[in-house]
Amino acid sequence: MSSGTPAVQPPPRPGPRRRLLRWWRSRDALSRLHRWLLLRALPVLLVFLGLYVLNGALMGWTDAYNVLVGIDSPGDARPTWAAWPLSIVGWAAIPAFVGGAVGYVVSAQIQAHRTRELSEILEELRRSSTVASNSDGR
Amino acid sequence: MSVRSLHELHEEGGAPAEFVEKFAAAWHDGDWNTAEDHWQLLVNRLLRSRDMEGLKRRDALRTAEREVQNLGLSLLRSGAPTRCPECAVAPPQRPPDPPRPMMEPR
Repeated sequence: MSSGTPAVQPPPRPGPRRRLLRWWRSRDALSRLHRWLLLRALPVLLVFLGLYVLNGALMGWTDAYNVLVGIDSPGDARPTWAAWPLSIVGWAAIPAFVGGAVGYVVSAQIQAHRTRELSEILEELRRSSTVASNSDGR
Repeated sequence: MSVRSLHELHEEGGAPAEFVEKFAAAWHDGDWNTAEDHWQLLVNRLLRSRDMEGLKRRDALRTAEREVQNLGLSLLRSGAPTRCPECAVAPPQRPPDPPRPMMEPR
């Protein structure tokens, strides 16, 4: 049914740049929580993993873990320049992100209760009372 | 502190007693068990409305009970053919209904 329109080339396959743009411009299709997890929490998680791996390689995994959870002071660890960021991520960034995400989910669950208006429910009950009144042999 | 029973409501006399009698007799064929069941379910439906947020537990319960009674009495006194809204939503266990004729809207 393309009579009258001049023949055109079929659309080209998207290249890598196009694919990346397409992915980026589709990000808002995600739900609020998933969008936030992908765009905010995932980068922070990657920074944290990078720091942890760096410190693990420099001072050993057990010492890196102890600095992360605050068992050891970053001032006692060597090298100090890598231990300080790991320590700060451990007590400031991660608790804040986990607490924020869980808090959001919990408040969404709390607010799922009592969402409809009283008048709306009453009208629905009134309608079901009158509409189906002669349908069960009474 | 929970939903008052139909027995307690009936002892109040007046409009509540009238509601209880008609609710059981006209809508549930004198089946007190189903009537009590549906009374509680109807009150629970209204307790889940947004208007109940901010009320204390007792006030929310009394408001919901009053609204169910007002709705019930206005339907039961109207003389029009009505049935318990809870029966309409979830019919009690009975033999399957015969095929329903088409209803006029509303």
